[in-house]
Amino acid sequence: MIRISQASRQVFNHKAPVWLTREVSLQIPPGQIVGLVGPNGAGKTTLMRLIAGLDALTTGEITIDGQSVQSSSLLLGYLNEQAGLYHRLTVLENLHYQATLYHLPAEIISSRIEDIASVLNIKPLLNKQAGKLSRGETMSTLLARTLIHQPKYLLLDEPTNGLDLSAVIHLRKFLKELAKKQHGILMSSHAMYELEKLADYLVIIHQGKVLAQGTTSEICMLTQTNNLETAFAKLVYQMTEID
Amino acid sequence: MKLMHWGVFKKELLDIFRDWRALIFTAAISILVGPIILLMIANTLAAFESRSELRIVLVQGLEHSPSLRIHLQRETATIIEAPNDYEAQLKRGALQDPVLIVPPKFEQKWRHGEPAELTMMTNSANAKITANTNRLKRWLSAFVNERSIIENSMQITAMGANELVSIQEHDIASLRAQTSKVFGMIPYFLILACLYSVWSGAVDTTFGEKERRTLEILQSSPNPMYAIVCAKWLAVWLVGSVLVMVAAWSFVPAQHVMAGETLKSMLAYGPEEALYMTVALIPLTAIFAGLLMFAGAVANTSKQAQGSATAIMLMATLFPLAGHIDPSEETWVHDLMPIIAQHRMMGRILEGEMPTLTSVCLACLVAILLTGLLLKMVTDRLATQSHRHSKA
Repeated sequence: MIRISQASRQVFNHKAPVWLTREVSLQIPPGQIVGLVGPNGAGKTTLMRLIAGLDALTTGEITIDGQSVQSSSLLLGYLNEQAGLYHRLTVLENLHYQATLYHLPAEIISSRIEDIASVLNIKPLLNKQAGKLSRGETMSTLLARTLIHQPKYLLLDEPTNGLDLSAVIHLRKFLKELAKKQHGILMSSHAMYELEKLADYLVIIHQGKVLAQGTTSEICMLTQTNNLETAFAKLVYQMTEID
Repeated sequence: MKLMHWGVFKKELLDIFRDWRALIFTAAISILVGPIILLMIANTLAAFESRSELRIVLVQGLEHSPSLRIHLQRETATIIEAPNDYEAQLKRGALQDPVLIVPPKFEQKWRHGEPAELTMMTNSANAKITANTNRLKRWLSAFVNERSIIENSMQITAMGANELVSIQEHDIASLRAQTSKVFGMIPYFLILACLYSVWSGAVDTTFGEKERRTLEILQSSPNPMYAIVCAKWLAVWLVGSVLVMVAAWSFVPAQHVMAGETLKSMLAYGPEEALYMTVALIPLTAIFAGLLMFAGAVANTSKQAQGSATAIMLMATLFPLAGHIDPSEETWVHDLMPIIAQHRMMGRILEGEMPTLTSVCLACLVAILLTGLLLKMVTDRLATQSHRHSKA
């Protein structure tokens, strides 16, 4: 389980301290999809980077199956929507490179790539140069790259951005299957309806702070609203009604 | 613990070769550097020779040989009395023609069957004088032959002038000055070859990762950053060294194909010289690879990366000048300074003095230490680099 306890990160912007996340506490157990919701600049990406060990905590603690984040890179797969591929390499070479970075034995790399490419429908793209992929194809390849070492926990930052509807439906189905296989998933998205459908547990974050967390019904009950969108508007923008 | 990640090394090599446009461009420069430089030198020498059409003869003591005066006048030469301090003026380059010295009783001597001598004072370190010396030599040979034919036919002397008159050439330039002046640009170009051979590859391995936003996958992978950085550096250095070797060896065939007689007599550049040049340059390539990787690692924008790389290029061009300001001040400390050390070493190779084992080892040691330090700095930089940091 990923345990986040009182996690805070502070940076200095022109010598003025800015809190990117403040005292965030939550858990991501295996087999569960946790949805992270928040407006732009709420701290979603910062929280994911903290879990991935890419940024340092100012205070608090994050553990992954009881280990520190620095020693659990094999357990994690982090997909950032802005991440890139090596443009001059083919999709196959990109995936192969990722596999070698994670020390996968040479004899299983090909079959692993084959499996993931089948699941994500990117087999026809394997010999295509990464620089020539469409946004949707790039996102699918990035997801394949994230999954190549079969991480136990997935951190997906806006994974549906730029995907067409069929790809989104396919991804949703795929993530549910992963959760069934006891993978823990933390996924952020702007699309509220998407997380409502997919996530077992939701965290609403704003200005680096967790405003509410729980299942959709728990959050609706807490905010005395009848849907997640209204609950979100009430919590973040103090709106009582949405047209 | 693994010092280097071979997967990263292979990928970097693949990436460099996949960027075939940049690679072909760099390889073409490496192959063409020899012919281009030698062509430039040959053209420069030709320009000097065309200047010699002015037909000036600087001479001292021409009153001792009226027949020589007549001969030179017939050649439409402009005869100018040489200044008394001609030697000093030749040395500092104030004169651009050789000085002909006609000793007292010169004509009297050979007419009486005694050996006589004409002296040409030259400075082969000055290429313009060298070109004009050839013309004066031709005139003097023609003069001696002509007098010989005339006197033999008239049976004035038992021996011809061509047997009695000798033409001595006195070169006031040292051997070092002779070669280094004309071919001084070869080490410059080879130092630049070291730089451009690693340029795009080195910057791409660090700044390219940030620009493509692929640095995160390296940072979040289970590999220590030093193993990744070492693998990247090795790939860049390997490709750069091959290109530098090609550049150093390109002079060997080039001089056979392009060199005129003047050029051929002035430059001796064979496989041995090419080999030593390569030995001198490979450690420098290692340093440049590390330095450019660091420039890429600290840059946040492509403009910053280009700016830093240009500053390194400027440094590589200006550093060797330090050795030229006062060559007498050269000390062993210069052997410890990258670029200057390689420039000196290559200058010596062109003068026919092969580098000693000590100087090669010293250059390698400096390269290892500096490259190690640079790679440590690159590692620290990439390991802690965060986009959020740079934005905040």
